[in-house]
Amino acid sequence: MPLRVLLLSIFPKARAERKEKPVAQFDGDLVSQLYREQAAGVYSFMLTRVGNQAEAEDLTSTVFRKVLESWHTFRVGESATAWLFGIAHHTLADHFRLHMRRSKRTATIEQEDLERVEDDQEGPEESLMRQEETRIVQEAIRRLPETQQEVLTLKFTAQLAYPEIAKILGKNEPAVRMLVHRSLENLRKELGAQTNGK
Amino acid sequence: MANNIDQNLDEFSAEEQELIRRVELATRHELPAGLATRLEAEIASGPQLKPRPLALVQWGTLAASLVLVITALVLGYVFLNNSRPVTAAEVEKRVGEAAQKNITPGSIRHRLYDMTDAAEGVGQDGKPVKISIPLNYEDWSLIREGGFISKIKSVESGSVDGNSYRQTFLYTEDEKLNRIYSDPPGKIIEIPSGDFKYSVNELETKEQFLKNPNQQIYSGSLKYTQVSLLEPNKDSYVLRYEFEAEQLLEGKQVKSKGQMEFTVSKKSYEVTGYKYSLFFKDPRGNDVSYVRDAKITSTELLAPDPTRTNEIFQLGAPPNTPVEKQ
Repeated sequence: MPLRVLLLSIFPKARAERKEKPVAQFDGDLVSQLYREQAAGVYSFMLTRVGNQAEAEDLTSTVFRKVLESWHTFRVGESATAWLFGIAHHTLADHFRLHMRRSKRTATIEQEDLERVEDDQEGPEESLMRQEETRIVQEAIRRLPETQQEVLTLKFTAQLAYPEIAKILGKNEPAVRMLVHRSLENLRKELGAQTNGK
Repeated sequence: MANNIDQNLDEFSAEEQELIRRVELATRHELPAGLATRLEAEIASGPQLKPRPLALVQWGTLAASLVLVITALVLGYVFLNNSRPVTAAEVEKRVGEAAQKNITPGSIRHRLYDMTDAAEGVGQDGKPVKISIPLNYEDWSLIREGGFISKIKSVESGSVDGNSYRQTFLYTEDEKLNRIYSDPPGKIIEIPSGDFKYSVNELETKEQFLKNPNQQIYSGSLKYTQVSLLEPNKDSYVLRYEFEAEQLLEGKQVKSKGQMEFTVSKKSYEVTGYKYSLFFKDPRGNDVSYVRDAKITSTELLAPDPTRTNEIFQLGAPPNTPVEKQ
């Protein structure tokens, strides 16, 4: 096919794209599994980042709608979790860009939202202590630089592995490891400052 | 879920591990029941398939393909159009279309100049007659209506063998003769005698002018046999019509062959030249030839003809000139 050869020589990226892994067929079981295993992680990731339960729910719903609509972007052999959180990462970025909420996100998590996440097993006093601890930690996280917030929530809230985070953030694995350690160090300082400031 | 802490934390210091547990406890939440119900319903309904969007590179590839295909089509069209032989029917059609543009609402008159007549034959006295004359044409007009020649007027005067003469020919044609120019090539059309009418108003030297061959020739029938297209140069086509005529001459049936040639501009498809030739044997067996060659040097719009009948054309005839109907 001379025409195709000509086109591929003109557009080398098109040739590279041909070598990518094939598109996966839609797999309802895999989507259900992703939902069962990762929906809470996605929701927690969103809630931690936006600090508002209603927005976090909407964003989580958006992520799974995109999963259904964008299945053609999932490649055979790719980590489904990394692909899912890649969608979550872009959805959140779009949300911030559209709603210009960066400044507001530093607001304290609403009491109502904290009450919703409390453990039913706990007594009233324990519940209050948990809510206070949650507020302190989340506010400390939101004071961190954007990338550090992202890497901490992906690593410890969504429980992703380093290679998956590296793929989502477009960094190599050692860089992600270093970023995690640096973020923890900064978070420790933030929490210490918060405690000292009280 | 908040207590589901299963990370391998060996790489972290004890202090970091404690911090990580605080982060996990503060940030990991159960899925709200309402959201869970909503998500389960969406997932159960399956994928909402949308057309896969094309990547930029794919758009580029598509655009380049389209450009290549369109270019190939254009080049192919131009190549084929240039290499494909033009047919006589196509040229005729375009001549008709070009003329149509000019004739609405009236008619157009092609004035023919630089016209020569040449005739060779034997007179009634048995002596050879050879005529080659640049005649003085006071008027020689092809009147075109509907794209076709419908009326012809000729007012000629000159000198032949020392004898002056002046003659006026007035012709009209009907739809049957016009079909010569509109039917496909090769079709034979019978033109019954009398369909091509003419009249002679003045003919001072009829004896010298081969007994007016036009009158004799066109009193019979005409068979249009073939049309061909020539390309004598890069600027013009020539439509050549070959025909056979059969008519009464001096009371005897005479067969003749002839051809008409119209020179057509390749640019405008206007008729720029006209040539007519006819060959036959007179009743006594003598060869007679008659050739008329003319260039159409000017055209002019005429007023609309309100009657549009087959009556003999009178435009330009001198006042009180008698016009015969045949």
